[in-house]
Amino acid sequence: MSLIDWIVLVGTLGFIVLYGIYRSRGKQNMDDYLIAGQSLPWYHVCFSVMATQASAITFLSAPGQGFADGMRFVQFYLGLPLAMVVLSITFVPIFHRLKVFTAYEFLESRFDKRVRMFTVTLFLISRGLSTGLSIYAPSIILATILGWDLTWTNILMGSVVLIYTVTGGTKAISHTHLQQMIIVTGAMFMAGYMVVHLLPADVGFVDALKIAGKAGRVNTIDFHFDPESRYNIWSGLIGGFFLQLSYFGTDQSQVGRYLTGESIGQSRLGLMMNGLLKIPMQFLILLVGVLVFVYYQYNPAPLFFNKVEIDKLKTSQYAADYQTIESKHQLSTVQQLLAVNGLAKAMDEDKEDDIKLWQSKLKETGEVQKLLKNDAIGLIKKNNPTADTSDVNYVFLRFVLDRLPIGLIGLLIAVIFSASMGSIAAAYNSLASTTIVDIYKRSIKADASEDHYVMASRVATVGWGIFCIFVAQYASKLGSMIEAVNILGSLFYGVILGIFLVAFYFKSLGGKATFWGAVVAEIAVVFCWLFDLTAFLWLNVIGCLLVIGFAWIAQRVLKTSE
Amino acid sequence: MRNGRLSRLARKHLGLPKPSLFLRYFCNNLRYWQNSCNFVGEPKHTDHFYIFMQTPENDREGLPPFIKSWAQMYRIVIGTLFALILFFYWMMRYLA
Repeated sequence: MSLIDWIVLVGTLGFIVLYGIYRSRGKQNMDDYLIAGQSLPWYHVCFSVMATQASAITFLSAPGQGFADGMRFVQFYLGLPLAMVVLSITFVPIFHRLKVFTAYEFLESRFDKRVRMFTVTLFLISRGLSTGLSIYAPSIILATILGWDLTWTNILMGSVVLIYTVTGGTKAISHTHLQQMIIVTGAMFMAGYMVVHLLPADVGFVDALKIAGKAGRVNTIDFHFDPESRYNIWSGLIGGFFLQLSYFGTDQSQVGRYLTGESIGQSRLGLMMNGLLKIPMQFLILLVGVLVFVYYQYNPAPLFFNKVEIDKLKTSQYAADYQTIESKHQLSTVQQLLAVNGLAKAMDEDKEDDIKLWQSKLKETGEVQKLLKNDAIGLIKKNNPTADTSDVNYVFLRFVLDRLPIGLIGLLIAVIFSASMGSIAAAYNSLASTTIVDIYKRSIKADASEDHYVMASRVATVGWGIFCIFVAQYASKLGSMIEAVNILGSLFYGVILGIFLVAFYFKSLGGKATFWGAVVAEIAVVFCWLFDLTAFLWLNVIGCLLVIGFAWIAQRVLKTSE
Repeated sequence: MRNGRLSRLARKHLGLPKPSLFLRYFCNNLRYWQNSCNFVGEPKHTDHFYIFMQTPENDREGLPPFIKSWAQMYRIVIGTLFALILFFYWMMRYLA
């Protein structure tokens, strides 16, 4: 990175931290520190909710998925608007009117302390671990590509955010979320513009889309129902609905965001706008990846986007084998260029037979490149058995570093940090508020002063920050990291959602039945995952329905009415 | 065994309602909760059922000026979702 990139990076991050501290200055009580005194308008709620969900992984992994797998990942978010509607009708009025700090407070009044603590435990485990992954995922990529030390990158990623999260609490987080979303959205639009700008002069945006379509990358909707398939419209609408409902309705990192709304109406409107904006935003991020794919049809793409592993291979005993694969790859890129030019010309002249011919040639070269890449991965594995053999997460960053101009590189690295800071800040805050409100205040020290609890919340935030950085240091290598985080969420979210749905909709079911129903359902979900019985999105549906079913049966068996 | 007999046995031994009663069960619950929403003063934690759907439909607080009710807002969001699905499908077919 050049000096200008460093200035842009440090300047952007410094501005976010200082702005957060400035907007949250002054004495704070529990209300201010944990739910920003319920004083924020709808647009703060909307952008805060969006920034919490969109971690750095979103901006690294999603364009990579667009490049490698097309746009089918967008179906993952189709259940989100439906979940927003249910949240607005049910969860928001209840949480607001009960004036709770955390979603789990409600569970004790509805059931008993045992159910509250069980849910709190599931939340703290899943959120603590996934926040560690949220730190590790961008850190490993930045460290690998930029040659930074992984330990210090993890520490930097996890600790910069602590400065304003500890001092300013939720108010600082919400104000910085707004800035982060403006920076992130602006930078992604600039990146998309630059990709189109870098295409050959006679290839415009629409032409690029047509080429992507012919290459099978605009595969946005799949109506085929297959429980094994991760992304189709049914898993998105049904599984995605349950995942988003449990994430937004029962995960304190999100509940804490919309509890900051100054009224029920403002919180609802923030969620509704999130429902309207999230899918187009995700679509645009994937579209950037698809445009990068088109760019690499006209320009030679690296055989493997993780350059560090390739450099290691070049100096190893497998260097000669690698060179053979590399020269075959170069030959295939020449054929690919011929095919894509032929396809573009045929599309211009609207010759259907030629389009089909060049389309099949483009597909053939794609298959050849895939085989060559697998050969290269085989060599990488032989050379370094612990190497990360998936380069999906490296595609976009490699493109940024290799092809974008000075200044924009720094800005896009700042985007990755900003997105990471947004989700990590909300996670720290939710972990601390749950620890203090649901454990410390409930079971350890019930009658301390406001100042005491604010101080305890600050200490808890620092403690969770250290824990998450520690998890990040020991996170193992993963495939697509955005999927790893979603899989981890799916293991717990369905069960937590089931508990909340029983609380809201099944008034005859008591605490004891719900507790045992939830325990058995969690075991069943882990079993389904261990034995790979279904795609991970369905775990949310299974977990949720099993809690309701088992609680119903347990209620009948126990014959208790609470 | 005929379905009717199976479901009667299930109802007898497991205490399950008739399948057609599930819908009525939810409707009754919703009505019960809605009717119980008219408490006075600050809600207590024990009022959780009564708060459900407490906000009256004519409460426009927070809505943009061009939208009449929350129900209309929800219809717009769901309508936009299905419009997006149709757009994605059309785009996929058009570009394929």
